[in-house]
Amino acid sequence: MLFSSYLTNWRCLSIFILGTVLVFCAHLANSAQVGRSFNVTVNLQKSLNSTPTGIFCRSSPALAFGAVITVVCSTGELVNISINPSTSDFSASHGSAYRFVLHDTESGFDTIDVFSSLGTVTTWHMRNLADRDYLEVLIGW
Amino acid sequence: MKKNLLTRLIAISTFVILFPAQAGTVNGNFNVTVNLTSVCTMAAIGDLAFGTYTAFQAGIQTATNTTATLTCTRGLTGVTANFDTAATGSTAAGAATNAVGAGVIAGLEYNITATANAAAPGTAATASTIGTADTRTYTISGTMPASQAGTGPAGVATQVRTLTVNY
Repeated sequence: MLFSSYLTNWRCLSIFILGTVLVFCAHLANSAQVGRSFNVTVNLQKSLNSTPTGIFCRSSPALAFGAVITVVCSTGELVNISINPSTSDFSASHGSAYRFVLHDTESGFDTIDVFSSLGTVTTWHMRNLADRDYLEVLIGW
Repeated sequence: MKKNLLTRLIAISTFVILFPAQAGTVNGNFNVTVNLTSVCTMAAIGDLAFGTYTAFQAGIQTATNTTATLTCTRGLTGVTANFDTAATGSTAAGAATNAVGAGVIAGLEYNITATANAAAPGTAATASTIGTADTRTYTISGTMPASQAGTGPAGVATQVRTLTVNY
């Protein structure tokens, strides 16, 4: 009796496995594919990380917004470009950098900054006053 | 002679009246069979363009998405997709609903994904119209990690990848 039950269960299992295999084979026989190629493109540019000659200053890579960046000159001088408080203007010189103001010639500035030269813009402020707007740029070189 | 003819006509008429023609119908069923082979066709795929990548750049570079559009037999289920691995250094996950892969171009590692969008069903055929196919689309996107050096020379590089859809 026990042996007969065992045989019955075994037959059921065999039929199930056979059926599963047949269904799987039928699925494979009916499967199909379609493919298309496409181009992946990129324009690689070398970074400007080669060391310049002569006296130069360079900053550490900007890793993320709000990151602390240091600028060191080949003379060993550390350029302070820390962010100016938004409520006040830059002083005439900020660290080793100079302030340069792009002004409206008709706005009636009393003084004109004379510190101007070739350099790298490090930060800028757009000043909005009651009677004039001007752009204040901090340049280091 | 005339009487004889008249007698015959009366006899025939009587027969027709008594035994009219027995009209009837008979039906025969038959099967209409067809062996449908499902088919999908894929239109040309635009470039997956990463644009300009500056070596050692700080941010992740994201490619402009491109789209693969398929026209398929209606009602297909179990559709899967995968990328190829033909290009040197390229990899691809097994076929799945969304295809996932990676590769290297110009010495820059990149990751790509083909995301299956919901199929736009076609219209069913009727006795007077042929119906229309389902439209399936995959949005192919890609990203490049930041801070990669790349391999020269600098300039535009192109690599061919293939998207395969299984149905």
